[in-house]
Amino acid sequence: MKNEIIALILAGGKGSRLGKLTQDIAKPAIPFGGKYRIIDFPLSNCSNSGINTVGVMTQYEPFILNEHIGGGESWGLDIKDGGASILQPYTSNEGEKWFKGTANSVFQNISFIDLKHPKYVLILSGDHIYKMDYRMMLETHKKNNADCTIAVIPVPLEEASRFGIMNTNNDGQIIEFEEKPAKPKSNLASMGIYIFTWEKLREYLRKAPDALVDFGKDVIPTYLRNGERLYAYKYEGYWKDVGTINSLWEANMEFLDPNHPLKIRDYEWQIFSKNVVSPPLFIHHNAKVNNSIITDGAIIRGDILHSVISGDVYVGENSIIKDSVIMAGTKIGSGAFVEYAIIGENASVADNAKIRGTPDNILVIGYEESVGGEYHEKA
Amino acid sequence: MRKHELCAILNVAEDDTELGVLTKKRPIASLPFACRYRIIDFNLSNIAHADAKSAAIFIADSGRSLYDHIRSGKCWDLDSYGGGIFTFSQNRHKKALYEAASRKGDFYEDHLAFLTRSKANYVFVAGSKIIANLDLVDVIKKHETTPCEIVRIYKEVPKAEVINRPKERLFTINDSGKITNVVEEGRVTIDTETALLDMNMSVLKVHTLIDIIKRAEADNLNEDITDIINHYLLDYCVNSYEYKGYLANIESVKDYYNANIGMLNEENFNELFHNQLPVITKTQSGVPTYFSENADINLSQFATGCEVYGTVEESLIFRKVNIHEGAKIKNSIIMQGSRIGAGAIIEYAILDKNVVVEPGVRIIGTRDNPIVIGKDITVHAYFWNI
Repeated sequence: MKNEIIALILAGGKGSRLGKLTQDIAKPAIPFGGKYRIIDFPLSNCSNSGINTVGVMTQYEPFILNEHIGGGESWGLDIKDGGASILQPYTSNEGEKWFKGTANSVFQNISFIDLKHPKYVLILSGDHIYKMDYRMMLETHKKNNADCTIAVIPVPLEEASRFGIMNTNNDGQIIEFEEKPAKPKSNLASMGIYIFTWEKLREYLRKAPDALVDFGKDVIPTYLRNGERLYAYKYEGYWKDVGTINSLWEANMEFLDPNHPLKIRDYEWQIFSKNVVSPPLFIHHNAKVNNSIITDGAIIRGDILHSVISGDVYVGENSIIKDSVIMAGTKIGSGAFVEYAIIGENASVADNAKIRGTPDNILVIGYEESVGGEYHEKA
Repeated sequence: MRKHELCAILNVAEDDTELGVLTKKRPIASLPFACRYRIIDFNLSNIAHADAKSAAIFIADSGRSLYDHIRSGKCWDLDSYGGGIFTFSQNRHKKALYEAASRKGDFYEDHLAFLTRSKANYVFVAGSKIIANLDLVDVIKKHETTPCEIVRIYKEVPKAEVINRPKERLFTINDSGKITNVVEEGRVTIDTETALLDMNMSVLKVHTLIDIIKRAEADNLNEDITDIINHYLLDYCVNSYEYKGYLANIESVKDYYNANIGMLNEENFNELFHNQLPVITKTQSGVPTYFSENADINLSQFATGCEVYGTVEESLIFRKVNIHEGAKIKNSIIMQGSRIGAGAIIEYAILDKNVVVEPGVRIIGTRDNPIVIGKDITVHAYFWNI
């Protein structure tokens, strides 16, 4: 069927809790796992789920993200009647259209969605790491004859007060939504993944564009108040929010486990990324690599211990990289020591530099930053 | 360079008998090389960097492996409007048909159609067994400054590299760089320390090549395009161009082994891969390579998608290879998708794609005579030794 469902990825957030790492790039464009960017996960999920039309809504520092996504060819989305489109705020007769919130960004792109004539729209956020078959969620949505289906994940009850919690009846119909409740009544947290029947959502957004700015805060409560059919779709699998420096580091460290639940080597559900061709990884005499993942183009002369080394990274002789994430293109001199750190893309670390964070306080070197021989420590 | 300035004809129908099972189902041009490339990537990259928009590839047999690799030519920007990759397979068959029927005429109609429609000014013509990272823009520049009709590329190599290689052709050039003599079939007694090795790569004006083709047609000479250029070469004014980078010449299993293992020499590797002109290949969606707690790696290269639990020394490991706990790989080339069982020992060997080595198996060759295991073979617990 031609565009029964299209996906919209909300990639406009600033991700300010990621400090230096989102200074010049949007959060969904942050590198992950040695060769991916976070947005590769929802994009690949779309492609694997047979959803070929994807709109990516960006507004904050969009350039790297735009270049990364292009027309969607890396994800096999560049087919007839499909494609990835970058949707950015634009000026029209009605004035400037800066995105004010998640629902507002969809409202402002109604004309894009109308061009595709979908029956359903899938709303995704660009900042989670997970594998999910959206087709199954769509089946549930259709079966329930729902107006909106929200993907939920069970979280430990004691942590539930940090999430938007869905309270459902026995059929999975949502009867109540509580944002960060002090006393949670259930442990089903919203994953920020929604399927809407487009005709109804369109009507709502057009009727009250100023009141419906955010999906969680405005749209869902309004739907509930008006007795629309909202259903929860329970997902049980690996799902990681990488909204903070420590959670990004932690997600990378978990990714080192060859038995990681994401099953990144499962070629039936591949995570695609924009591929750049680099020569093979070169490990020299006297180098040591253990419990680590390393990507093409890297040249390793030192010791890599429990770390993620991205493409085209250079590590000089007698350097030790431990429990760290080194992003693409970074050069590390000889005799350097790096521990509990995230080093941004194309950074350079001088000979004998010491870069030390702690497991609770990961030290970050920004993109293209140069670090001299002095001592960098985070208590 | 201006669009449509250069086109290319690649002849991938060369003799590959000395490569044994490695070329049983693929031409030399599609042999995997340096963990993630195919040999044809080098010439495709050479022409891509000179902004060629179209390339014709003449293939001896079916060419399945080449089609699979090259696809639309998009990776090398050969899929633009007005350009493209044009493949002509079953040339061995065509040649045999012409011979059997003593047929005359039209043997080169594909070449002529390609050359005419390319609207190019220059054509790069090459064989496929030589690996080099060549700056064709510079070659064409040289062409433009001379009155010669052909520029031919050579490399000065130590005598040892051409002795006992009967297929090699050596040049003599005069003080102005013009090629004055070609010695074929290595029959030369070389009294110098070095020799000028013909790389079987020419840049010529399209109309010169059309002229050569017409002569071949008139002489009823139905051969590969590189062979007819060689046949008439000295009838033309031929300027020489010296290539100074890394060169590998893949004719035999030993050549193939040495050229791959030679990538572990940093100088060779950098000359080929870390210079201004990157080598382009088909992009693959690989995952990073994983090294376990007990992995022990010494001077080796890896492509993406591998899982390494064992020991790897002075070896090249291609994409998606699994090396299990306790396996030891030394001085070997392990191609894509192979699985090495626990405790297996592999030395001086070439494992073609998707080879399965069962746990505890020993495959031990020698530097001069590496063992080759053909594609998709499972090696059971025999002792392989020679």
